[in-house]
Amino acid sequence: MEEKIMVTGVRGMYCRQCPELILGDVLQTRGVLDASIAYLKGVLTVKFDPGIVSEEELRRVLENGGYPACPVGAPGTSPLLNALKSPFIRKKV
Amino acid sequence: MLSHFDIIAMKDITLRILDMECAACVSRLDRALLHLPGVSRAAASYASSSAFISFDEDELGLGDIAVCVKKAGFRVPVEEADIRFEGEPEAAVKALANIFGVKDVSVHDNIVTVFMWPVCLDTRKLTEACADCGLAAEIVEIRGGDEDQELEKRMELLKTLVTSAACTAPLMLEVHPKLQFLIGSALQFIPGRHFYRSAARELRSGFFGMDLLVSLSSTLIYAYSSYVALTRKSNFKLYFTSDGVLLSLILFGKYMEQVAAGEASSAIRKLMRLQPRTAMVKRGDKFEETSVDKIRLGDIVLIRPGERVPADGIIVGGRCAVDESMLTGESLPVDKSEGNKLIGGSLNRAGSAELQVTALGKATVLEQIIDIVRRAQSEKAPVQRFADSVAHWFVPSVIGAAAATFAVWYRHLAPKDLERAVLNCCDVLSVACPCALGLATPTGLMVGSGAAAERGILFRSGTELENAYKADCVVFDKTGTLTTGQPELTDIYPLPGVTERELILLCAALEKHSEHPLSRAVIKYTSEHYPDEKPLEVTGFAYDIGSGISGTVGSSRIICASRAALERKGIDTGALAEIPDVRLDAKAEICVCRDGAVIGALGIADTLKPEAAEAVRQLKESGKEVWMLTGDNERTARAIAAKAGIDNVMFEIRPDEKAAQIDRLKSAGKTVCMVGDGINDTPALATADCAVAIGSGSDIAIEAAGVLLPSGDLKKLVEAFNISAATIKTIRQNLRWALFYNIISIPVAAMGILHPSICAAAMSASSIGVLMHSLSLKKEKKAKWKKK
Repeated sequence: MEEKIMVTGVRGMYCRQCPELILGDVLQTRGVLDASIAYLKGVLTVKFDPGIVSEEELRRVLENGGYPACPVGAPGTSPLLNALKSPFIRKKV
Repeated sequence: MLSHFDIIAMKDITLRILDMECAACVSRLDRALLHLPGVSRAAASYASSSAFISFDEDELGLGDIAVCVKKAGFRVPVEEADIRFEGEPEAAVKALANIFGVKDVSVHDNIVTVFMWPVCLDTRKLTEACADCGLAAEIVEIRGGDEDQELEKRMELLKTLVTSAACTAPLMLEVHPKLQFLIGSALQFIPGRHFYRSAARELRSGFFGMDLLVSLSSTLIYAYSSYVALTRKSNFKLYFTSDGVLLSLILFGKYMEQVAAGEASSAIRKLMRLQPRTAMVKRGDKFEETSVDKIRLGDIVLIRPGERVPADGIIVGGRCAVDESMLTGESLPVDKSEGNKLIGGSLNRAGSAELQVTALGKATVLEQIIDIVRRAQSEKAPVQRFADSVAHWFVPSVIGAAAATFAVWYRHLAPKDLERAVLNCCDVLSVACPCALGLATPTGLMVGSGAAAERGILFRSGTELENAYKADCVVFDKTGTLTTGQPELTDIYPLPGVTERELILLCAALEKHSEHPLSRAVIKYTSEHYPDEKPLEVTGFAYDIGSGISGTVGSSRIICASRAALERKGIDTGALAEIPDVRLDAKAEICVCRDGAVIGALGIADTLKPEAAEAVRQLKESGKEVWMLTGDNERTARAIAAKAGIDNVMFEIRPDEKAAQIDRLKSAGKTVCMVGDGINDTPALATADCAVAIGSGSDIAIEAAGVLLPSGDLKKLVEAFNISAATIKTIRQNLRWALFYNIISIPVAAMGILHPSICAAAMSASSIGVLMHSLSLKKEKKAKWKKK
């Protein structure tokens, strides 16, 4: 029963629902003890048991979910910038 | 992939899906759906909160699609229809279940409840199906997917607000009167409808509320302006703009309320993430990975290390160590074996166990917690009820004053001058601000509870939020409330002939290989006090959960276990009588045994939470009396209390006596706040004026507690009191301002000095100001409540 912490940037977030999806995927992975996202910075922090799941597997989970892992602060991690740059700006009317 | 020739067999549906908010969500869902074998087309749309799906009915059912959507992280709301019937329902039930789109059918008394997937199923089909079976039936009630009506309401409100603002903007340009009339009419009957509906609802319940006032005011302004626009010369002033501004600002305020409510629900979302989506369920002889939705009561589920428990249940085989910290605040994994209960959402840290499911879905502890937090948002607090009662007579008075104003001006002050009379009447209607009552109070409570939820403080209802700070006496239960879940090695008692060093190193040698958290305490101690010692070699290490650990060091067989476990193995523990029994200090004991003989014991304590002393100090500083309640003996109790800075101690209190102690304090005239966590706290929690459950305890404690602190952090208690005080202070300030403002402004408006736009602006400024003041609660850092 060990614990390790992984901090990574996450690319591709736009709206308030995106972190929910990411956390949903990550927390469902066996071996993950806890996870949280700093939405505005695009940073994911995962506490996991390395005896059960590896960092590689976690990165794969992120990749499969559509939000690939990348270095903290890398381009594409800020959801605000993503939203501004993308043609799909939220329209609610 | 399916070919075009298969299109004829495709079923097209528009499935309502919740939680989509952006393009990324949409593409993710599309991808997930297209991956499903049997789906030929999938196009989700966040604007309409739905997905168009084309699929092969033979390969795929709606249930499968729903599972796929859920796996992608979204929700499919289930709609329910209650059908009342006369006669024998069996045939009808079968027929109903066969209708495409029906998920499930259940019968209770004379009501058939049909659960439907949101595929726009025509409910007439249901009654027709019943009729075909000869059953007279009528639909009594339809409920559209319980949970996220909030989101729908919010979207609805936002659309109304934007429409209103969009209509108001051009009006500000002072265009041609007839054009203004058209825009103004659109404004009045499209977004304005919201107020008419709301006012009608209010009147039906016999209540005169803010929406009635707003409706009247805006209707009058609109009617007058229309009259002027259509009949008078163009140099008469129109007031459509004022109408627009009025409606828009009120709608904005309502929307802000909902946003504040949304913030509060992040706590709920966090709890909801604890529910796993799949589990290993026993089917026949094997365990298969199954969606959690398909688990039934009585199913056997395998819980492997690292997995979260999918539902409440009882262990029927195997053993594990479970972290229930998300629910209980105890991060120390708890050993669970056959016969023990597991809570859905808890995390298995070690070992494997087979669980028989005893509660699913809404019946689980986790869902109950979620439900409580949600309900807290919808209950009315006393201050709100007070505000409502004031509004009750306030609004009719304002209407009366407005009517009087009109009459006085029209008859006496400016006879036959319709414009003046109407304007001054509108002035009164629009300057009066019941918003402090209708807006700021609920907003204050929402923001307060939202700010609290963000900090990990869950108030079960607005009432709790309002009353928390009133407590002048705080009683802490000791175990699990003042003390942590982090064990520390505090005692080493070697038997004669053995050195401390020897004892510790032998134990540590074994504990190093163990997964149990008590082992961590030993390792930590060893690395701190014997940092240079190399760990001894162990061969043949074995770990029986609940029966300790064993192995061979050198030539000796070493066992580390509890006293009871050693006795079960047939080892004589009589020699331990020579050393102090650490168990009397409520500590966990590890007895070390070498070659069949006990050589000593280690005591591992559940120590005081590091923030305990500071929290107690802050509570005392704010004028509250602090007590500690415990079943411990006097010596131990006073020792711990002294460390925490608590002067008042109730010791050797049995669980059934705790409530009586709370009563004793209450009858001494104190307002008691009880802080506890477990089953034995329930009666005491129920008796207290304010009940706080630290670490969310068991479900029973949750029911009895008005405030939940899932994190277990004692400083949160101080924060909870501060937030409660700050919220009430803000609301009271708002109410005082509202009174002052109305008393001054209504007579001024009646005198005809002000222009309706200015009145509307003043009223809006007043209500926005009040709203802003309420929202400033979010930034509230320190608002100490000093006892007057």
